Amino acid sequence: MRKSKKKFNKKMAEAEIDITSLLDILVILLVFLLKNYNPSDLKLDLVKDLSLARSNSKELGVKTLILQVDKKNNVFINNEMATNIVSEGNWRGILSSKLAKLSEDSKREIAQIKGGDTSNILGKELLAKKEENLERVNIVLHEELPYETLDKVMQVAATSGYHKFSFIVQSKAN
Amino acid sequence: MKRQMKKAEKLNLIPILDAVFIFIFFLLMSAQFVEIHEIRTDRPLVKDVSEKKDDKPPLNLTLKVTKNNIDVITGLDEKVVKTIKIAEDDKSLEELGQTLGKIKEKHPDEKTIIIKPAKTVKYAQIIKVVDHSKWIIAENGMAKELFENVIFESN
Repeated sequence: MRKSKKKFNKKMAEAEIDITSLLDILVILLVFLLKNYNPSDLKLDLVKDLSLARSNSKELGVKTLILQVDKKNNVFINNEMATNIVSEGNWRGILSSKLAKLSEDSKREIAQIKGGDTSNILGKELLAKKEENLERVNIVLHEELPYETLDKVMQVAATSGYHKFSFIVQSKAN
Repeated sequence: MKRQMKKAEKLNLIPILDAVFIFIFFLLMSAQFVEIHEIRTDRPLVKDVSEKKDDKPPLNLTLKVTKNNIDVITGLDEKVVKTIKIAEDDKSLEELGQTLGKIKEKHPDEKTIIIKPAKTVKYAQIIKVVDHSKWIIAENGMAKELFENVIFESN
């Protein structure tokens, strides 16, 4: 009885999993993911029927209001359908009121942060970032649309409190 | 005499594997498979002209973009310096970059360019023009900055 137990323990000690192949996969995965890492806080979910224009720009996007206009002239604010530039008669009024409301909400949020504890560095940084991007809007336009559409959207955004524009483009390296 | 076999010491990989797994999850969450970037622009705002008194006449560099041509305009008298015909390939845009590069050499402190596209010009074409107005690829393959402030104006 004692002899067989000793034998069993010896066998158990020898049984080991070879993790070399697993490590190989992990290293490849790590390199692949590191290559695709993007430090930008802007997360963009493209709407249907929209393809991005290509550019050599290397500037990283910032998280703020996203305005998308697809191939069919539908306008989306933060991925929610707002209006259509062609089929909706009062599209300017609809878009303007929605943007103005969002601008007011952002201003109120900033006022709340200012009213709270901003003594720590993180709070100050957050406030500065929010204030800097308060009037900024990310514009994502379908590449085939004419300048007329862009001009109209920029005009409405500017009159609703968004004076700074960032055109979101796809890197040519992709 | 019995020969004593030295047991080879094995590395404990468990902590490093734990760290790698956490790192992979973090990278998976922040991975972006379509690389997106931004181009910052402005629209003209009405400013008090008297705030800046300068003897030097402003460069007022403007690109008038139509479907077929790009006019490079300078000065308050809106003098057309060059007209570039837009071709199918990107050679015309390279020519634009070279022209703007020469202007930048003459006016190194100038940072603003006004782009006036026609209503029918496609957005992709405008982005290409903005690209060539902001940066130029130098001989060593590095991008050199031309005019960082791009302002849009309607025709």
